[in-house]
Amino acid sequence: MPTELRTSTAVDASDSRTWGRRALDAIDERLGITALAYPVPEHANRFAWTLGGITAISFLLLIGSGIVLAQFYSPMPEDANQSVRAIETEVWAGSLFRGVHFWAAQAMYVGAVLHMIRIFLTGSYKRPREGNWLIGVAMLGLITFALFTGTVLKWDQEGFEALGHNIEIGNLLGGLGFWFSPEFAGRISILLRLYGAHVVIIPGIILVLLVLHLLLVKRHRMSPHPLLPAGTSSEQAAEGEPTQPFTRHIRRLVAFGIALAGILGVLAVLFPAPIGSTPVPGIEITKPPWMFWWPFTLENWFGLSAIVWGELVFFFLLAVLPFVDRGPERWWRRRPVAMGIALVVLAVLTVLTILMAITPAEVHL
Amino acid sequence: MAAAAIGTLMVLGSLTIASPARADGGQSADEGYVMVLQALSFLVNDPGPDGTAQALAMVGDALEAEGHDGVDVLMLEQAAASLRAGSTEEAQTLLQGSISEAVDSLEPAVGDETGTTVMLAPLPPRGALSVTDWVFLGLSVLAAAVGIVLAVLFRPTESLRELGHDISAARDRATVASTGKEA
Ligand code: HEM
Repeated sequence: MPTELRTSTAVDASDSRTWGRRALDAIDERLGITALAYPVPEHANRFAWTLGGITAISFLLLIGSGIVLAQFYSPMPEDANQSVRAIETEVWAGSLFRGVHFWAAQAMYVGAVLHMIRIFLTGSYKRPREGNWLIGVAMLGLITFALFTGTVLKWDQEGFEALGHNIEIGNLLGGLGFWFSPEFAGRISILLRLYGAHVVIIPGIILVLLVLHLLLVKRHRMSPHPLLPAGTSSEQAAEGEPTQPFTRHIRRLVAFGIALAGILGVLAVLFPAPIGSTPVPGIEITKPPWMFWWPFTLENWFGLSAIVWGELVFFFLLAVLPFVDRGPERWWRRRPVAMGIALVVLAVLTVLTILMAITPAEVHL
Repeated sequence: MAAAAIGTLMVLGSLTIASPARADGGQSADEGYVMVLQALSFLVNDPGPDGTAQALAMVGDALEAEGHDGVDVLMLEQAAASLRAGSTEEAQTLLQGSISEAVDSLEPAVGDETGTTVMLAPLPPRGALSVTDWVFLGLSVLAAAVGIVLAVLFRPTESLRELGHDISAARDRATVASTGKEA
């Protein structure tokens, strides 16, 4: 294993390495890059097991395109909508960067959900990986929060109506919702605080959690593939499974990353991100982005507090899963109860989403 | 949205509880000029008959509203007449003009005030692709293709079944080795 530090690569007359090799070794001695070549079980290179990595790549693309947008966006209510229009029409390639950001956000959401479904189907949240599952749930909440704040930043009718809902929900939560109250910091615009959350607080926390998440994946090692013969421990891949250096895994991820960047680029050109009319309070004529449709159908039926209850139940179910489902079975076909419950939840979310898709916007607040 | 609220609560859950939020913002939806902006919003979001009808109803409300501070009532009435006559564009100009005094005297927006002074219609879909767009599209298609080809090239060489065989074979070898030693 090349993880040990070589004590010295000092000039040695008998050193037969080429100049290039010596340069690489010198860099590696300082940065420890070859330590990344630790062995991972072969099954980790299958597509379903790279979905977490693909989510991480979407995050990188979001940071890159977001940095560009931040140069031209103005978080002042009087000018925010106009500055987004300027990005679309005046900044060179601005519309493309905004389009990539818009689509990468959805890719990250979809990626995280698919990754979570993989973890669920292969029982990878089971002992000893329950803690990492919780970190994942927290990151999913943060991604949702980033999508929400991003929607508000456009400062168009859609974003403002979304904000209105959130302020009302904040009021509903009483003291707990203080951060969403416009009066919490009454002498500045709430848009400024949401901007801070969107560009610093949320990505910052995601980044910290992601580092923890990956360190834990390394510490626990990749969970076993439930269809492969088990090893001595049901928590780890069998000792006899062939391995590949982790750098091979990264190599495949880079390939997926190039493909993803290309696909997002095509989407950005063909389906640019929209920007609506300047906002006015007191009317409701828009719908939120699709990830928020299911709680909004609940609101149509039961009123505003149903959004809170719906989301609480959803995140509660996610959070308790690894502590309730502790059986040794990992393959989904042999876990009928967990699968049954998951299917019901999925069906409910899908039906609620479709219902919102076919319902016109309605006045609630 | 709620996920947002809950997400924060989950992560920042340990924060102290502050004073309860007050519901009223600094900008109320029944002020005269805000009603005119609402009428404008209906118009720019749906220039057809539905939007015009909603806008007209809103202008009616604005005319009946108690406070007309900064709103030119005469212009507002003209706007209503234009709306009834179906000249949406003229109505839009009149509506925007009728609130110029009100929006000119607005303080910088705080809290959840919108800061909206001019009603801008949703940005129309962009027209034909520019040279930059075409170049970017070409590069993106290329990247997508190269990425997919590389991902296929770098795919795992063994199927699950083969991996299963490898594991069983390794286990058999280990058993033979250990029993051999014991013998
Ligand atoms: C920001 C979003 C996320 C990123 C970037 C991310 C990234 C990753 C990566 C790269 C892995 C290695 C295995 C793989 O790629 O499949 C992984 C594993 C894992 N993730 Fe995530 N993840 C995210 C969200 C989530 C969510 C939402 C959950 C579940 C609620 C979750 C739970 C787990 C667990 C339990 C493992 C260990 C799986 C195993 O060993 O097979 N992650 N994550």
